[in-house]
Amino acid sequence: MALVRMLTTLMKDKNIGKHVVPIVPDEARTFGMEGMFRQFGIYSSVGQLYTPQDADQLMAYREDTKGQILEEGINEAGSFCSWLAAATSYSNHGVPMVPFYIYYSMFGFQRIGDFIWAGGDMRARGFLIGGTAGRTTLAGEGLQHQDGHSHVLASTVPNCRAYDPTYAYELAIIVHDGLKRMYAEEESIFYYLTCMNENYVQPAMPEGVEEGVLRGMYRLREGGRGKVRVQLMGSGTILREVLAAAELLEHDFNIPADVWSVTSFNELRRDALATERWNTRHPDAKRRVSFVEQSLADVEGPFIAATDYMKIVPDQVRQWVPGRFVTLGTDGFGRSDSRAALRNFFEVDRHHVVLEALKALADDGALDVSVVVDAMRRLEVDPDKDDPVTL
Amino acid sequence: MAQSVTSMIRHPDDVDPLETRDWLESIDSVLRVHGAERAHFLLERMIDHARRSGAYLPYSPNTAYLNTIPTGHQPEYPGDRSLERRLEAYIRWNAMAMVVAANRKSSEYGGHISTYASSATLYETGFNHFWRAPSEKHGGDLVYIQGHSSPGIYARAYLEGRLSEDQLKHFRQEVAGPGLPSYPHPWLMPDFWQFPTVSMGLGPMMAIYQARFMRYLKHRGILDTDDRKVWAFLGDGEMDEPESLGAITMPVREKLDNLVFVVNCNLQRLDGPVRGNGKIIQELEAAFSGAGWNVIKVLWGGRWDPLLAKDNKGLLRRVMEECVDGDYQNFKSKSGAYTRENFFGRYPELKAMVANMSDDEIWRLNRGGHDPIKVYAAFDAAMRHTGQPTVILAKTVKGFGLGKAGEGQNISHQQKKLDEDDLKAFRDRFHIPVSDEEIAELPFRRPAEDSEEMRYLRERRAELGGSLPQRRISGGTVALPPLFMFMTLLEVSW
Repeated sequence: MALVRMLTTLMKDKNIGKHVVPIVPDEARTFGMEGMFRQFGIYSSVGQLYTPQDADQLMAYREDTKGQILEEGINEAGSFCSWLAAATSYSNHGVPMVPFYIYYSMFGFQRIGDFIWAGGDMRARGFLIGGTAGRTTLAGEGLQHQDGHSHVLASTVPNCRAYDPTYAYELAIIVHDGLKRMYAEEESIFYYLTCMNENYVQPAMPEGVEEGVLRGMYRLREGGRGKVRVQLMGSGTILREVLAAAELLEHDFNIPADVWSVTSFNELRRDALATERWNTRHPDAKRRVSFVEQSLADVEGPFIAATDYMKIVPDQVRQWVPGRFVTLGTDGFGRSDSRAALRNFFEVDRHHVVLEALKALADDGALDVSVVVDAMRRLEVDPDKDDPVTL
Repeated sequence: MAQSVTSMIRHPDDVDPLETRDWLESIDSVLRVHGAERAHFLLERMIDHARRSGAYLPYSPNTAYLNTIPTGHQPEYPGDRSLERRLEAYIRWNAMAMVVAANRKSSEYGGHISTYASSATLYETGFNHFWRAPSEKHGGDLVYIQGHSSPGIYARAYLEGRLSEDQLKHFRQEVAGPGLPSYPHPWLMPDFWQFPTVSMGLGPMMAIYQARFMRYLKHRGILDTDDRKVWAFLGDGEMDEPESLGAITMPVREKLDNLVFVVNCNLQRLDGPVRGNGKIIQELEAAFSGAGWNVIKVLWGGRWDPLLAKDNKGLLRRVMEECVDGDYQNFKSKSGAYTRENFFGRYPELKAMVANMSDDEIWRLNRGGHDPIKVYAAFDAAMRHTGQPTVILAKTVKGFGLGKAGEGQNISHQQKKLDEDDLKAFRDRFHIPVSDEEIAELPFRRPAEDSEEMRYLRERRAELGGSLPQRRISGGTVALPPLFMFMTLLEVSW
């Protein structure tokens, strides 16, 4: 995980390094953090009274009274209480600490949500990292593990900033800004970031995307010229399906598509609500424009958004999207299979993105409906497929 | 001495009291000559020996339904009892008045009187003698205050001059003015409350991990946290939340002697008794001592001491064991006469033991959690204990002092409306200087600034480093690495 690399970099930094508190609920290996055991040590009040079985290995299980990692065992509530103690250390001990709690995203807001709410109340500062996130990305683990709604729950905590980034540079921008806001400017906020265990090529950061990454969206790909065009939005791993859909639309259907990386529908909504509220209360002043409206002001729709979370996540910005807006998400119970099979099942893969784009254009009168019917055959979309919400 | 009395008591299941007495006298002599440690060793050796010989000896994690600290082991009380009693009375009055006043305006506001009423002495003992505020000399103790007792904490802050009368008048009316939140919420009072302890069950687990985190800070060389304690105030009903007991083995494993739980066992939850048919204190004792905690039971107040000293046949102890919490609650909701008949009246000899006591004297036989001397002894022992976390199980009366309006009654938790007679009874019981003419107005009261009481209040807190609770808003900043440090690492694909 890119996050683990960042964490390691941070922990080696001469200033902030010792303030970092990595916390895991017995899932360090799941997240590829076992390399940190030897390097930084697992905290133990008695050190290590035995020779670990893997002592001769590079990634040995090293316990130490000076260990930096809090390995809490299979215990999300306890792990989170450690996070709370570290996240309020600035107040209770006068020493700001920077906790990163890394866990299965399903077992955070859903399992210990009341503690997280209390964390908001007590002005906790730190990072919650929902690992192996995404209903179709955590492929094999099935119904109880596959998280498609932690971002919905995260949106309920007013001072929780939640992001579902796709690329390492997005994550880096968000984490860096979070550090600045919480530990330099002392804002009482905390971060929820979903990270995935799917491996893909990490591009270098394009020029000038920082503001968009932080405020929630930026244009990642500009389509070619054409008579009609569509705007595709995606978050997390599903952004990659959206990019693939854009290629399909251009090459197979001759329809140019712009692609937007949406790092946070939650942040976009908060900004839009605040903007709208200001406008209502200042009817005679120059109207302010929310970030989502600014971003989409001069583009040609329709607009299709796809995520690995429930449709309600992109639906949050519906009222500010200037045109037909179709959302794809993973509503329903998860189940075990491959990522490809699950994305087809939940109708969030590239084919379904293409289908929704064509259908939206047809509904807008920009395409003949026969194109859609024909496309369904080419895309192998079964019109009689059961609705995944009901299965 | 306590041991010679207990060795004379006949246990109901005893088939050979003479033989029993021999054994007990042997232990008495070991206790006298070699001390408790040696006695403990011998007893453990005997049990181990019997087990190794094939005997089945079931493990019992419970001790008798008595105070853990014998009267003879109580430390000298360092405070001024009479001034403390006066101050506690004012705090009780103001805490009650703020809830009742709010609910006169509107029953929408809600609020709880009876939790604090049951725990006032526990808190006051801590405030007057134990809890250190952060100062130049000390990092400060961390006190997780039970959410429902917030009115009492506000009332103390009012006496200390930290909160205004206007704020007290706006308990649970936060939107428009200088209001006070229902429960401890740092979001709403960022310079006051530190720990959100509602919903119930959050406090105990947060406290445990806080205590461990303080060790982590120390071991990593980040901050010296020695000599600081984490105190968590919990309710006996709250202990039914799985989170309350869910993490109690960890502080034992970690030897967190910087952690003290105080469970206010007023025997009542919201709807009725916590364990009407049993004893919550015994159940909690078993759970905590089984997990390896230092358990201190504070059951009986000092007024019971002479009766227990006279209990040569163990009948009083027997009735104490026989009665269930439903009984104990009921006694406190009734009267001295009722207690005489239904508690002491279970055995003619016991009834005779209290024959020369008036009903009023029987009524005033106090519970441990309402006796500052017993509470002080427990807190002091917790402060000194090493190698284990400590839990204090303090037996109290829900709605203490509310009389007919809610003392020990099933409706206590919801009680927020007192009529004029109730208020007068409360005033008289705690000697609050409010006249009959004024009482309907529910005035807040505090002793004159230059009174002995106020001087004492200020001195005690000054001695302990300042006021509590207090929350530090700014905790300093950390220098950050530049963004490119991440980026150079991330440009490679993986």
